[in-house]
Amino acid sequence: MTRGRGLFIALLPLLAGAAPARMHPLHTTLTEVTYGGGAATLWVRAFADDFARGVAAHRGPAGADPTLAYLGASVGVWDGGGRRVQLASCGRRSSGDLRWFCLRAPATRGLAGMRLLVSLQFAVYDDQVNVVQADRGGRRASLLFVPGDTPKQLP
Amino acid sequence: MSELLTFFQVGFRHIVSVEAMDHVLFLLVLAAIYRFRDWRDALWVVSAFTVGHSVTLALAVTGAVRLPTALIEFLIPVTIVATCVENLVVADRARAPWGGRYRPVFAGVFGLVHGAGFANYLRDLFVDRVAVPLLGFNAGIEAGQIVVLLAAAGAFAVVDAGLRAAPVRAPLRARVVMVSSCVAVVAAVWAAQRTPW
Repeated sequence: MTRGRGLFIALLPLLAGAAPARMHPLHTTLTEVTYGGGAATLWVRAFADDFARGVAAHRGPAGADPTLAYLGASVGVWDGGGRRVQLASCGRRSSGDLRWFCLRAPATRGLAGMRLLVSLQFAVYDDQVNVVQADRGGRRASLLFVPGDTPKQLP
Repeated sequence: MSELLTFFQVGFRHIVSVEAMDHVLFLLVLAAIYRFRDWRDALWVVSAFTVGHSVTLALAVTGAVRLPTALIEFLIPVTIVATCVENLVVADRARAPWGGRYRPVFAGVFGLVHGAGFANYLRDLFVDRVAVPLLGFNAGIEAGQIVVLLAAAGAFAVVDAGLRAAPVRAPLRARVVMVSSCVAVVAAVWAAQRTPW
């Protein structure tokens, strides 16, 4: 047993090198969906550092705004007929560690039948979770997206 | 899907992910000194930890207290090292001060620190109507902790069987020393990396 104990003590320093340096961040984004004036408005909130990693890892078309190209590729909206809807940027802002992005999609029939896919940061974090909250006349419904998910219909 | 269930899943995934190693290791060393027949003691300690982190999570997310992220991220591995040291120093639990009944208190206090770690992320993201997300997230964390502890109990049973077969004179003590030494080294490295000054 003495030899076993000596081997155990000798191996302990190896663990120091194996210790992952990363902390325990919550890799998540929150997208709030509201309806008004014949359009759906999506406010996407993401942590600045995580979002920047996502943008950096994304290869968008040459000459395009990298942030908008990334949002366009990672936030998908489909109307009730199954057609992908073109998203338009309606603003962005920063507050502390957060970045907020506004996207607008035409929705003449309201949010009924609308499907969404938010795949932000899936390419950079295996544990990424994207939450969508839709406010439909004061009633809040949620969707959860994890890597591998396909578009989901708003409840 | 309901908001409660959505945030339950966020909390659960947050604990059972590989990235949650600091929280998992803390649970591991907290549970390392117990055998199956000590389940009541283990339940007290884990419940105290849960109460602790629920309190700070609620206080910080609702904005009642604001805690410096860098300090909390440093203190989390410090709580892990302290638990490891306690495991290593107290060889005979029967002769521990106050019969070892201080352990739930200390798990509760350390839980306050771990809860602040979760809260620093949640507060930034969920700035309005936090009650349901908070409740769902916390319930998910508790469910994740139960899964981690069950997995730990299974792993300890395998280690114990190996130690008995070795054979080792005091298998429980050997298990405590092995687990606590390994985790202490990893957590000490984290603490050094996260020193806020």
